Amino acid sequence: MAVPSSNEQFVGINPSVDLVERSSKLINSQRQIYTYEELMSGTFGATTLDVGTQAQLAGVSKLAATYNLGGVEYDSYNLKCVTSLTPEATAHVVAIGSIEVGAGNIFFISNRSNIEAVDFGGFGGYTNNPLNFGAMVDDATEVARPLTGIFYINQENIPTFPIEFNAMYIVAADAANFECDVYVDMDFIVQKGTTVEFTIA
Amino acid sequence: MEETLIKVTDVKGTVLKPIDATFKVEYKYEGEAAPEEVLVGDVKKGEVKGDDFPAPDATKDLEYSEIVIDVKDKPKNLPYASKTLKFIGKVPPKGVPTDLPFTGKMPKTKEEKKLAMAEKKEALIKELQKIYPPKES
Repeated sequence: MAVPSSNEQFVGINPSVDLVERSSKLINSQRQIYTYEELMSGTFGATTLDVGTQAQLAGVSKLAATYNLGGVEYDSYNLKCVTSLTPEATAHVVAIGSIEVGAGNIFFISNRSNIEAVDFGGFGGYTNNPLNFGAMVDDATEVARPLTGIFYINQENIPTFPIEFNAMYIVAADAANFECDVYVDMDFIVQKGTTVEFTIA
Repeated sequence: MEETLIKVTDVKGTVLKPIDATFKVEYKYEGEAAPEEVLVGDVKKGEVKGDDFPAPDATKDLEYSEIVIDVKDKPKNLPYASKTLKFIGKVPPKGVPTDLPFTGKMPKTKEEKKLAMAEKKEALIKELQKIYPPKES
């Protein structure tokens, strides 16, 4: 959804109906329209995930929530990535993409990332666990088991690039081969008003 | 209570948390030939913490104080230059940002960024495979 220059916002009004508002000459097509669901989830417009070089789908969207931490104001954003760690191997790294900010550090304040594995040869169905060591993964046997190695999202700087360039990776490793699907869903905050640019890897 | 005495930042004010650097604080008194080192150590997570900068010798006149940030020249270190900050007639203010100049290469194209991320990815997977060797399926 395109973001108009106006700050005016409506909630729950059909965007196809133009309304005349007191002290405003704008019609709805020039406003940002939120659905109730979008407002409650904090999503600012639609999330579009692009396709990257490792077939990962990833994107960053701005959230409606702002933060004031001890007098310092921050905007919030959401990073999403959907990918599969396949074929099975002991070590997987997926470059998600880079988050470049105009100035300041980025702080990840929330991580709702999920790992899905198949358990057709075990108790049946699929397993879903938070991304971490201990998350259930599978292999050719199609029996899910907990990963005992490492599983995390890596925020890293590139040695020759400025600190404002944050490369994001999915990192997972275990003593035995494994595979799984990964759904990255993380919120981060940046200095209020600074630019945020995402480049898919 | 410990406070941030020195905030090691770039010129945009971003804290250089992963920087590998040392610091020293020196006081130069009127009539003395060389400055006196009053505080020295490693920069940890982009900051130098402490209760306060040492009080200058009350029996002498402080000509200036200096903060010297010495960035270690290593291939994996962040590309920022060492810097000296001088404060005439006073001790440094608490929490002073260092504004280290950038010495690296600003990525200009998406391809350049993608290539850098891909190289890093390959390096990371090689490191992981040292600990978790590949196995036949």
